[in-house]
Amino acid sequence: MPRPPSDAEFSELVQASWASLYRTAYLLLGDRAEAEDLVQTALAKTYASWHKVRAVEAAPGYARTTLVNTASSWFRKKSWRNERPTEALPEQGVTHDPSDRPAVIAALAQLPPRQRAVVVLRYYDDLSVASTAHALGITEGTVKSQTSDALARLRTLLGDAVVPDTLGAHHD
Amino acid sequence: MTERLTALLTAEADLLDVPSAPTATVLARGRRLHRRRRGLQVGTGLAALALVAGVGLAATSGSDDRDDALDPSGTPPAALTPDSGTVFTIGTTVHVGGGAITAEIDDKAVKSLYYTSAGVLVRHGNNSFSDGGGPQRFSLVSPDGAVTPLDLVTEGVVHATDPTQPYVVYVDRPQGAAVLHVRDVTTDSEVATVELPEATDDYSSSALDGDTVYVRNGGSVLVIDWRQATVEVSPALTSESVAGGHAIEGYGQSPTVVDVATGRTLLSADLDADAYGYFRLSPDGSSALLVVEDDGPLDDEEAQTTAYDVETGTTLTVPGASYDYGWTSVGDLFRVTDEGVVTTCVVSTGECTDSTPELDTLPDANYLTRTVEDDLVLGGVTRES
Repeated sequence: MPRPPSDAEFSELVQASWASLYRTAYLLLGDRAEAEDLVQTALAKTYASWHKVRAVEAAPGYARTTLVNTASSWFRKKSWRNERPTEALPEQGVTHDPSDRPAVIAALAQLPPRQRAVVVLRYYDDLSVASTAHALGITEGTVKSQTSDALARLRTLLGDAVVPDTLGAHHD
Repeated sequence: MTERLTALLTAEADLLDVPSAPTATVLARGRRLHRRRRGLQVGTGLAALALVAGVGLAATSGSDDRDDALDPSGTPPAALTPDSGTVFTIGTTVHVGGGAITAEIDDKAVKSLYYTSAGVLVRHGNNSFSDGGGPQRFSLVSPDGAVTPLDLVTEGVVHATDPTQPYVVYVDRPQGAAVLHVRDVTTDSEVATVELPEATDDYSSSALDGDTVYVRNGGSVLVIDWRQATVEVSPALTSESVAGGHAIEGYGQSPTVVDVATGRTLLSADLDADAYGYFRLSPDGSSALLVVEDDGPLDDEEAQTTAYDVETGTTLTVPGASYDYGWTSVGDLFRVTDEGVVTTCVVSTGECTDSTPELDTLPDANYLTRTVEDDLVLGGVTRES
């Protein structure tokens, strides 16, 4: 196997991608500590699987894919749902008063993990249906149905102004 | 449309208090994981199990090929391979013969255990890291438990032994030129050095099989007869991982084990397109584990691992991930649980036996929480990066 990256290469990757990965992780999980653990795990896996990265330039994308795959693996664990009651509000990861805007994070917390992931990947990370399906290891049909269910739920929580009832596919 | 939802998600993300990137911590986790995948040859559980089910055994060679595969210059026959039983360390205590004999290493941490015909060669130092961990010191633990520190200190190099030989080999590059060193652990003296031409790979993993040393050099493999000081580039091998006349080839979707002398494929696996797998040979080359990597959970309690008898293709599936298992010098599989239970399996027959030796300290299998005091190092498994 090719040798791992140099310390400098990997440190540069961590510094450059940390914030972006953390934001996605937080939106996926809704918990700051878990988000940090997820990003650390994804980056550690990226280091250990450097032979798959092929080029330094491809490392951020590989780390992001690994992050989503890892989160998806966590979702598949039976204990995950038990530990994540959907009725519980998550801690807020922001320092400002959130009362001045719709509580989108709180609304995301009302979704089952996979629906939440679909929403984050499609509407925050701007992934296509196909890419979302690939990232989560589910079919495109499931992505679409999960998207539909998730948006219906969000519509009731955030209102038609945020999630209008005219949705087809966001993009494919 | 969903522009408003996207805007809200983006706003939430942008307003997050993002903690500082713990670069050193991430790097350390990556190194630990890589060491396990490289040296301990991490495979993961459920996916690995599913893929193993699809493995096709392409061919099995007869004993004639095995004889041809052995180095003709005098490698002792397999019957003379010393069997120390299971050998492992917990902290700096070496347990030989499944815990029947213990020995103490006078150092801070153990890095790796190597089988030789003279006993167990222990690589130790300031920490359990194999690379970037400072000096690599060595002690020989003889079958009766006697410990002999060796006058050998290296740093950042990869070592190899053959369980039928009293030698340790390694490549270093003092002034840029790569030099192969062969050291007799019984006399604690260097018996040969061979300068390697046009070395391009500063990593220089190596293997010792009889009188032949295999060294990776970039994309090729150097084949060195250390007694004759001859160096050739292998026309066929792509991996330096050779033991008992068998070589690991074909990382990725089609990992194989081949016979070095004949080139015949002994084992092969046909993995899914997105899988990355490889075989991990026992120190004597008689057995192999199929390791399949994926990006699943690091710790999967439902993992299973399959071992193969290289000659016959007989399989043995055992619980746990592949990195849980070490090898005896004769190719038996073993592991030590957190509870101190030592399970040893004969791959060719599938027979497994448990024992519970008296251990002063129980090992911690969790690599995230273990310390140098309860770090478990298994024989026949080299931690390398």
